[in-house]
Amino acid sequence: MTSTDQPALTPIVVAGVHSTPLDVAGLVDSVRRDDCGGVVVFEGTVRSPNHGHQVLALEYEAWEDRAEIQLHEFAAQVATEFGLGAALAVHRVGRVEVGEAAVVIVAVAVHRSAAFLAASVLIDRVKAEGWIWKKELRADGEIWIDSCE
Amino acid sequence: MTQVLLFARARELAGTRQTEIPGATVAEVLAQAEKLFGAEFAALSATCTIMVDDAIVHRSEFLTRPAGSELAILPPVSGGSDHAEPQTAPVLRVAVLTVSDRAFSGEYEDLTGPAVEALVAEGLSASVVHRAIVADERAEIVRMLSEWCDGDQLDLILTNGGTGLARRDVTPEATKEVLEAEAPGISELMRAAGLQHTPFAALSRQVAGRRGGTIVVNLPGSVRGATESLEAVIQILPHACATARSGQP
Repeated sequence: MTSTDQPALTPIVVAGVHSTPLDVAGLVDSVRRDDCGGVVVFEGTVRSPNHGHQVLALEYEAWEDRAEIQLHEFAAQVATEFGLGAALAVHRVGRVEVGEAAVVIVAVAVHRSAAFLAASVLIDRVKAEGWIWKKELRADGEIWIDSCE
Repeated sequence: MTQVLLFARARELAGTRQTEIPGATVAEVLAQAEKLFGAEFAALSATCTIMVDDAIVHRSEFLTRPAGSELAILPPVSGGSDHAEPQTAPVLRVAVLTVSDRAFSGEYEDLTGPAVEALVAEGLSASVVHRAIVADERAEIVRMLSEWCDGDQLDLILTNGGTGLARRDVTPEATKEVLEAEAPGISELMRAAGLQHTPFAALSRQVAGRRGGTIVVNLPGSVRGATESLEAVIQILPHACATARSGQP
């Protein structure tokens, strides 16, 4: 995806699993760069209601050391594949309140098209393959959300 | 004792995040865990991905370090929304090479190759992507093995035939010519299994080893010899293949 008139960028890769609220603006600032004009930010936030149930919060659990390695690997692979200037994948663990960010993805590229595509591919990969689970804390009980939901 | 790590709903049902459970195979450890943690855990366990140390494994696999392995029981994650299937060990790409003058000339039908394939289908998470019959000619065997190892980057090649002491039996020599590393333990295990039935198993000269990322294993030519040999090592082959593949470009 790197255009032929640009030398390949050496991407910045940021990944992590955090137990405190995510500072989205701070994370985005950590991967901005002057030679890239497209910065796509995806925030996955906690939603209520979900499937008709009032959600109080989500409780995330990760296989933390593995998940950090996975997120770094996914971000690095997407960065290489799309010729990005930077890729960031950071996930929350623990209790995340409605409206708070549970996951932040940033893709930084010379142009916007690669950044949009890369951000979409990266969040899909993180959600499908990262060893991170969520439990919905509902007004009427608790339930682990798996692929059947 | 294997260190068992449990996550999310599996952790809650087990009431612990980490415990020690004995067992020689992945399946034995899981069966023990299911007995300890109850029916609801057993139902969830069937949907879980199982990792041993760094690799996603097949349930029939032996624990390579029963005393020191870490086995993780991983329920489906929330974002795998389109499929409820657990992640499984990669499907091995396997080739079966029958080495026999008579089968090659059509004098008789090759029964051993299909028997080996049937056992592969039953005992491994694998698909047979190549099969061929060659005569007992060293150069031909070397050519087929090199082509499959280097060109097709298969995980596993199972030869059958040409392992005895007849003048025409050259499969071990041809195999040694292509191998970069021999794995004598594999052939010892196969011969030991054969010796339980007949002392004539001692006359089999089968070898095994690695070329590039491919494991090559010689099996004897008879249906019984080949299937007994393969059964003796089938549980260690996925790990052998995973190890051979690691570090490959």
